[in-house]
Amino acid sequence: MQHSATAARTATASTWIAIALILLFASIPLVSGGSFALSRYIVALAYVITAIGVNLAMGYAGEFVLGHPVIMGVSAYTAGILSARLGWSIGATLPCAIVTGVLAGLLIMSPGLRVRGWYYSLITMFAVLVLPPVAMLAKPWTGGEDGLTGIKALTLFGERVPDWALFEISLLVLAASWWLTDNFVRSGWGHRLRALRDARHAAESAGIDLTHTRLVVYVLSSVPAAFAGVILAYSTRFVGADMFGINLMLMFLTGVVLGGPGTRWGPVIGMAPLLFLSFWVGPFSPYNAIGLGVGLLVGTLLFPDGVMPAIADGLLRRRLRQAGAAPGGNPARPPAMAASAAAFGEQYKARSGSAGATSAGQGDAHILRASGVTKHFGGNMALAGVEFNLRRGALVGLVGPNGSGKSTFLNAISGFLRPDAGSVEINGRNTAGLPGHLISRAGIGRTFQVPQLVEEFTAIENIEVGLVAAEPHAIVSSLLQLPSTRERARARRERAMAAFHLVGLPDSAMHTPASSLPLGLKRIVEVGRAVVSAPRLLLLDEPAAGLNDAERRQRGQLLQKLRDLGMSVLVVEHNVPFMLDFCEELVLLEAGQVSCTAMLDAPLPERLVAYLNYRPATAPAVAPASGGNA
Amino acid sequence: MTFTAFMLGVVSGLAFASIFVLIALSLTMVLAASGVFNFAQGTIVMGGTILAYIFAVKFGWTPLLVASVILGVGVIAGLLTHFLSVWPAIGRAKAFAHTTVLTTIGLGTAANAVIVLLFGGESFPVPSFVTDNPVRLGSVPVRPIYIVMVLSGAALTLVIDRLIRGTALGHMFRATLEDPEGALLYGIDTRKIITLSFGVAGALSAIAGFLVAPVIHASAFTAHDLAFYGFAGMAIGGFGSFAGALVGGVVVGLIYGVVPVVADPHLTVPVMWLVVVAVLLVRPSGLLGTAGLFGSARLREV
Repeated sequence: MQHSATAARTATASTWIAIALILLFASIPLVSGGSFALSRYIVALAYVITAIGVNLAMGYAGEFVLGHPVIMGVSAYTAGILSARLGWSIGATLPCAIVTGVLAGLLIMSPGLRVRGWYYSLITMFAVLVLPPVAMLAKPWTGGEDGLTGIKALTLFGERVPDWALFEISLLVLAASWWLTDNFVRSGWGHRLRALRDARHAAESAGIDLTHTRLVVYVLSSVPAAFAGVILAYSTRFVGADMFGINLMLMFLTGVVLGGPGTRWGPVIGMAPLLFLSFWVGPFSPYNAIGLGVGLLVGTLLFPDGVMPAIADGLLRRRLRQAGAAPGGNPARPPAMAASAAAFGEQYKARSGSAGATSAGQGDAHILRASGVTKHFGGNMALAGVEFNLRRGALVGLVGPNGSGKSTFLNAISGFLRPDAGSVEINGRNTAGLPGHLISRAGIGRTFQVPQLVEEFTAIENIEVGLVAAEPHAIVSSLLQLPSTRERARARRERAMAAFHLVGLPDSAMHTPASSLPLGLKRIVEVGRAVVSAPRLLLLDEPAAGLNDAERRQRGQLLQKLRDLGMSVLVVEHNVPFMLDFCEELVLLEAGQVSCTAMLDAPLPERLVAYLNYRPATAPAVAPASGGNA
Repeated sequence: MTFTAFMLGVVSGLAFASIFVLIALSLTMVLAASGVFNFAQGTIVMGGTILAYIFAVKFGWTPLLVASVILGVGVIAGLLTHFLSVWPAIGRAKAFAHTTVLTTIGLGTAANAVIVLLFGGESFPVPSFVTDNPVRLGSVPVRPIYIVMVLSGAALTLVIDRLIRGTALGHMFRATLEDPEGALLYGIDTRKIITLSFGVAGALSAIAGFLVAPVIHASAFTAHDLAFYGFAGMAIGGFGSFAGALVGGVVVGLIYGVVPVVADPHLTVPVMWLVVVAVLLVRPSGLLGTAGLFGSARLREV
């Protein structure tokens, strides 16, 4: 637990640094040279506020959105027009501007619901080209190419707000944006966002609604930009479309990328040098664009994960080397572990028992009933009418040659592929055609051929990803890090610990980032994430691939342990000894159809023997193992 | 608005379409060969317009000489893009497509700003390489330069298509597009093929700039718009598809030509952006985006 103590200390240190920085910046108006300098600082603050929102989408959620200048522009124009043309006061202009800014953000980011990657970045980026012509179209309101003038000075409680006060207000908005975002990504939403970024399929299989998560990200990422737009409108009391052009987009992109996307200080640290450059040479100067462009090019090539993480990584590595030099090594497993694993068993029985009693399919002897499941890929018939039932509490192996449709079948029943025809019933519920996250909530856990983990998360945090979908959304509570959110985090950690010990992960893996775990352990972490939510049906895709004999035996015993807890387990695996040793039934899939099903305690049918290459000469070696197992 | 005015919009739209097809095609070629969306291509097109002005107006060279020199400069610019922003990332970047879109955006904007510094921010007209007396097609007067644009665009598209489909080089190219690892196993130097695709795409882009210069003038501020039109053509038509680049380029050209005639010219870019968003929301892979480039079956993960 020493690690979490260190983490807590780092977090406290971080908070103190943040407070010290805010106080330092808050004193700027005392020493600044007049209102011109101040108004530039306010612009800088507005940019950093926006960058915090960009980092939320780009860094934490992996949604590469570049359209934030447009959000700023729309909210600045809204606030400006309402103030200049209609004479509204800040109490009315601010909410309207935030709403229009967020709506613009939703429109710009909406393609993200369908397209991914750089394709998505570009479509959001080109939205920046749309704002100037739209401003021209609405010339009577926006002032067209002359820009919008006549914005009333900001007044609060009947008093005109002086520049220094506006500066302090902007600083407050910046601090609030940073704090709220930081809280948010440390709550269960941080798990959702990072899973969306690094392990989309895993997130879906854990019951996380990706579309909903994306929409939340889009809104929350737009809000800071919308505030920044209002600040700009009142600070400069002028709005022109060229204030929100490609160069500004480039500044956010470069700043977030250099500072380290998905880090708490990234947007602040990354933006600082760019703001200096921009004010030194002027925001519209070609030298500004050259600096930003070259910074982006060189920064991306030299530090693919961001400059700050690279520095932090270097420091961390040095610290680890020092720690590794010290004698010691792993302490013996604490006795708490066994108790923890047993606790999972009790919890599991309690959960599945109570849930089972109310569920409609309880009387059914089969947890999974698939009938006539068909899937085409173009002319290729991957599944040609699969008939398959899985008994409750059985541990069944699915075998078949490459391309016979094993993984396709898993994908079809867990909702990653929509079957063309056929019915799938899970626990008595028809799930064919439901999206993956809903099928998962019906009580399915699954793993993937290539482990899908959040790289920066530790093993235990990755297991926690399996739990967040069942928690209430509680967005406001997460933003404010209310006691209920902390309580949820504590409960989540406790359950994840139980699963961690149940699947037999070594304690040394507990606080290691998934990226530095060996492949075998990654697969176990995936199993932990799949079982932590106490599913009734577990689908495992090649859990023993790439393991040595000892590890494979452990893995097999783990599967039997899960089965003994009451889970129904379906395993896809190529390793024949593994399947013969640990499963109780084998199902052979050939050319998209179940060609043979056999219990392993009876003589195997000819067809399965032919596939397994199970010659009589080796029979004595295999028969006792399978017999003993049954 | 008369029928003639509308047809004028259609004709100029088709002329622009032939240019947008070239841009979309060069983007598609690099994308399919290497998985890189080369944002700097817009800068190369813009560079083509400026070189057309410098060579044709300032130096007074003949159009053919101007075109061949621009072709050469385009090859060099494409290769430079490759070696500065893509080559260093090969084998190093965790997410290659992602990294290279950032590096090419960085390089493209920086190069763009350098051109602004060298050339200035003004816009200079470039005379047509042919007569400006309109040719009448029925009741519609057509600028001869439009006909040149359409014919050259179509000819270049055909040449590229022939090159890819008909020659040994083309077969290697297609193998690389289809399956880079497999091509490597057959002894094809895929890095060389990727380098080549950047060179050819650079030449195509620069020539597109040369062809469009007389109608959009030479200015250092057109790069982002040109990149957008090329991207829009690619996105509407279909990601990584040759036919898609053609169809998408024509759609974008028609929007570009017709919208200013039937409505406010400022609507052009917003309408085009909305069309791209709508197409992507309905068909994320574009109108013809199911097959890969030049009929290859493999569609790279976006």
